Amino acid sequence: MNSINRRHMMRLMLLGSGAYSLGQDRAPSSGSSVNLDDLQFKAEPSLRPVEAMFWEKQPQDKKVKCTLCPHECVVADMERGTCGVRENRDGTYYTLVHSRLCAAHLDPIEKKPLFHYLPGTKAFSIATPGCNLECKYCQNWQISQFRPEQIECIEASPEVLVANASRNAAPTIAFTYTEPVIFYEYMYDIAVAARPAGIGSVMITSGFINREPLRKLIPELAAIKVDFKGFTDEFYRTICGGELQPVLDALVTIRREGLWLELVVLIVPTLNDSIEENRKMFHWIKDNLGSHVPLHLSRFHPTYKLKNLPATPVSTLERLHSEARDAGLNYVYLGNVQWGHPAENTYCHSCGKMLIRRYGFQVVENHLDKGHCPHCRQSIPGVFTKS
Amino acid sequence: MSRSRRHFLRCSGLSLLAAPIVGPMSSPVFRNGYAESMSLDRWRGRVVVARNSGYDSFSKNPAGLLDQGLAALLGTERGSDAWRRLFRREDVVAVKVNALAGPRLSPGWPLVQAVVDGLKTAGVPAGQIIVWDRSSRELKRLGYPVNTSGDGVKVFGTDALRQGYEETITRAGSVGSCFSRIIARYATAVINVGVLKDHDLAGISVLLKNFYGAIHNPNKYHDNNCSPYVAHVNSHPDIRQKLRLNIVDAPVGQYHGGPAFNNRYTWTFGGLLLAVDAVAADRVALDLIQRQRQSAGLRTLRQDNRYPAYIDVAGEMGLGEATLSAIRRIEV
Repeated sequence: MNSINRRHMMRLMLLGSGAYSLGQDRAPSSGSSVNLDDLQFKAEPSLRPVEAMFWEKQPQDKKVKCTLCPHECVVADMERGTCGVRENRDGTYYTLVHSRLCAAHLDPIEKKPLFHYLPGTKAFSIATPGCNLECKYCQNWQISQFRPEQIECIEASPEVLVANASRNAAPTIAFTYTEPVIFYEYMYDIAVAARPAGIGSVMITSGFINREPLRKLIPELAAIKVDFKGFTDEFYRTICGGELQPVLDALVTIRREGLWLELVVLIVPTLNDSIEENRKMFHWIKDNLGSHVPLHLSRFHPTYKLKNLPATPVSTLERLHSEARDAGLNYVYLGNVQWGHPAENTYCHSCGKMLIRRYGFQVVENHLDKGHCPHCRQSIPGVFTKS
Repeated sequence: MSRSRRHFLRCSGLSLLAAPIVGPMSSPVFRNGYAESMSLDRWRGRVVVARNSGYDSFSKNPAGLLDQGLAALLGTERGSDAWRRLFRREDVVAVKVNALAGPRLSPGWPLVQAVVDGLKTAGVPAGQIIVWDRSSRELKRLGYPVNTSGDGVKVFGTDALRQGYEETITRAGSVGSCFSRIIARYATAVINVGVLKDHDLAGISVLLKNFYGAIHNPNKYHDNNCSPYVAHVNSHPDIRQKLRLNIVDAPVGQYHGGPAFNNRYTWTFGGLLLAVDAVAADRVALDLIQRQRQSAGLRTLRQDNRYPAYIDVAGEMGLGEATLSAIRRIEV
């Protein structure tokens, strides 16, 4: 496929929201008038495989070991890894989601959320099916927790995506909604193709990725947002199907490589909302990532497998916001709260004056002057001009 | 393709008949349009549990178990008589298997072969039989001989077809989906071959849920333990009016940790469930899985907040018998 036409794109954008237009109801066929010998088949099967990056052959039985993420699945022939999108075919490991889009939207960058990265701009946001974690509260579980053949996708090459982002005047392509790590090859190819077009790429991830692939990817990215699930290994294992330490390692790697980083922590009542646990997390962030990394404390809403818990009280988030500030973090935000909440805004860490006023995902005022506070001339951390 | 005005009017009229389906069905579910003299309502709530100690995960040879069970289900002397009561030589039969369960749990090829042999005894030519699921790749992974041409049995996934799914979305209650053309256009009769397994979202995934493999967007319908969506998918006329036989292939069952195979939670069941009434068979399967969970000291599916209420909904809609005490379980 060389291009996505307008109709195709409209259809695609509806995929993520599930907002199909209904066709006319159809009665069942009473009998087959089709000669089965006349059936027309595709020349190529769907789920066209592309050889994966980051895997090793194993000595026995055509097995392979995936080295993309810390699961490091050892996969037998004809089987797939935990992510469900990478498959061993006769001793070679393939990704089944390269160029297979299940969602594409033009979102405000604030929705990612990235508050210190080109505020007020749009991000051409895309996803393929699949994830390497299984968070019991996943908001996008209807695309993240299914195999690619269970979700309607369209084929779109990296070049087509870049052209579409460009046509929509989006300065950024965001890999988001599901876990971009599992469509690493597609993401990497898009990011490489986007740079010459002056489009930055941002990854919205859980950070459950091995060091080598992360380091290879970072030079191609403009920013990264990590969903920091919690600060105990138990939470990662029991609620998310992952582990804490690899995420901590990834965060430190990102910081060392100098890529712009923001963090989100979804605060789930009774599971990761303890003051003590979060206080430890805030101090770890300050000590290892610095006091300027923006931290978004986000409100949980019951969904997927966690419907027995209430939404997070805003008072809990406000208390944690204070704790984070007390721990020395300069840019702490609240997310999924009532729009217009003061903690949606950006304040200068030096003079305390408001720099950016937001209303939900909308930037209402932006007083930044070339990345500086107009009042005290303090340089504000972030990416505020397109490179 | 040109269409006459009469054709158009006929289609329009039929569309009205296929209006959204909610609440109890106004007509008997088993109105399949075949063997008119045979009232299929009499098979409602009837489930055969055919077991044989030799039928396990190592020896997946159904031998005579299928025919024996089918004869018991329809009350015929021989299995071949039962096949002939259910199918005619004119039929194009779509055998929907559950390939997603994987090689260690999905229906084995020997059983599918036995189904094909049974259909042949009813006079259905091999070339009019399609063994299918969502993708050819998954069928191949099970060791099925994928075949899209020639005189033999066709074995392929919806994804192998140039136009695999219908172009327009049709509604079935709260579900809006494009159905596989295999079931929507080509088949006149359907056999559902499911497995006996737990499902972390749906509670269980046995027969009714297997038809999620017939729609293009199953990911949209897993909320609320797939209820009422599974029932609504099964109320779609393409399924309701074409489904003639349900088989649960269960040399082993899985009572927890599904939908993926998890050896820790499997048990040797060594048998098949057979029914014309898929709702009743699902209800019996639920009972079997619940009992196994109880033996293993696990909570009930209701306590686990994943009771498959869609079975009850299907019963309320008239798709079959969902009350366990009203189901006649025939042990073979």
